Amino acid sequence: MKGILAIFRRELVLAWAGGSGLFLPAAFFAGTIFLAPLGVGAEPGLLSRLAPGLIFVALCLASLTTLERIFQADLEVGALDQQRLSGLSMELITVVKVLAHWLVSGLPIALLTPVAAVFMRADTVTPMTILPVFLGSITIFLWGGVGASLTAGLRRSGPLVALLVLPLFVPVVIFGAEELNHILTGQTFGAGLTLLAANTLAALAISPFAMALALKLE
Amino acid sequence: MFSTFANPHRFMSLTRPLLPILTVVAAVMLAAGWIWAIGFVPDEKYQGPTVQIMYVHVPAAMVSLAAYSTMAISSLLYLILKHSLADVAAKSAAPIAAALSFICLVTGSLWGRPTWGTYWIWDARLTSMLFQLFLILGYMALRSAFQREQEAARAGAILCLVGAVNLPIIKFSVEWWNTLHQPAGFISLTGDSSLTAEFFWPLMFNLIGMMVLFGAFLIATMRSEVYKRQYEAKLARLNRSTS
Repeated sequence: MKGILAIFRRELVLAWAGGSGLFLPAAFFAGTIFLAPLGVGAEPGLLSRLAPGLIFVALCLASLTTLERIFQADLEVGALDQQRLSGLSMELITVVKVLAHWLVSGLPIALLTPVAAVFMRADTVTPMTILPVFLGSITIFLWGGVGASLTAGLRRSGPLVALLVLPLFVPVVIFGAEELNHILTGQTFGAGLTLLAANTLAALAISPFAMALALKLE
Repeated sequence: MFSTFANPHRFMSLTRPLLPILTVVAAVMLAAGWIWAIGFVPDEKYQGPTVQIMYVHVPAAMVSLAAYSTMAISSLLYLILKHSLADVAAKSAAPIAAALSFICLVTGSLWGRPTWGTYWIWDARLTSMLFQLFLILGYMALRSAFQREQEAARAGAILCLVGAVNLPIIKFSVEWWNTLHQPAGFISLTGDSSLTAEFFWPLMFNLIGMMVLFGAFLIATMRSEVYKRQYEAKLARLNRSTS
């Protein structure tokens, strides 16, 4: 437990020390959302109709901006080997790293969602608006972590990671946007939330093993 | 059993006579199926002659699924047994699976134009086939990014298995989405209109022909990959002994 906390804290400290890189995905997300009305027109009905889908597409794209960094630096300097020598299982190490990365890159996006929804002229904006993006971003970062672990040993892996993980984002975009649509139009929770949560749990169950296998040394 | 057939030398000697047989069987089956389909199958009541596209489209769709399954099973065997022949099979099946998915999408699109009045609808099957194509292209791109064959093999195998686990989830989610969003007015693809015998048998010929053709392509690609690896291994040995 102590070791896990140490790894978690180290990730957060490194992210904090990285400075502006911390807010990069959130800024990317906001920028995409602000561009959308300029592209499709500021008509209120149209914008609020498009809001859930655009928010989730922007979330997927924003997550791609920093994904490749999750494991690359640690693999290069040998920090990953050191952590492995501590006796902790690789599955645990990878999932802790991804969750720490999500905390600094994914959570700000989820917290920005109500603001984005207001800008998209959505009907009802409640604190609940955060929930679908909260769950969706965890799933997206976990599958993204699989892509990042597979390409950790490669240079300039960004576009490749995007190609690898985008098909895995399909269920999140479908269920998440559906649920967000429910919430933004003032309805109660739909089936989308249950399915989205199921997806998050499936990603949490499967991705650590894939990441650990990908990062184990020969 | 796997270790018996996994010996590359045994594989090469077994498949040497098998390859021409499979090629001839595939050619005969497909030629018979296509001549039957184009020359002798009557026009369908609603779709007219465009129903003949089915004889390329359906076999391509089914065999592309079989090809992706081949990749997934080979990847699993590679991760468990670490035998390079399993990796050769997965690597060789990928471009064939991609080509078949592409053919399926193109013929489906061309078939959709006269029957639904549009080249593309976001139907559940079309959409999940599109994402299967993306998964395979991602697999090929990932493999080609690695310099060393072993790293490419392992990364590819993991990606292929993650994709295989996700493919049913993607398919389910797209179907769920489809029932919510499908605009009215399109003819449903899922209405199961069972085929009558005059349409069914030529389809069966094409299906089996395509399956055997996949087997022939797979074996041919695997053989050239084994030759390539043997050549590279020999080259590395020579370089070591001279330097």
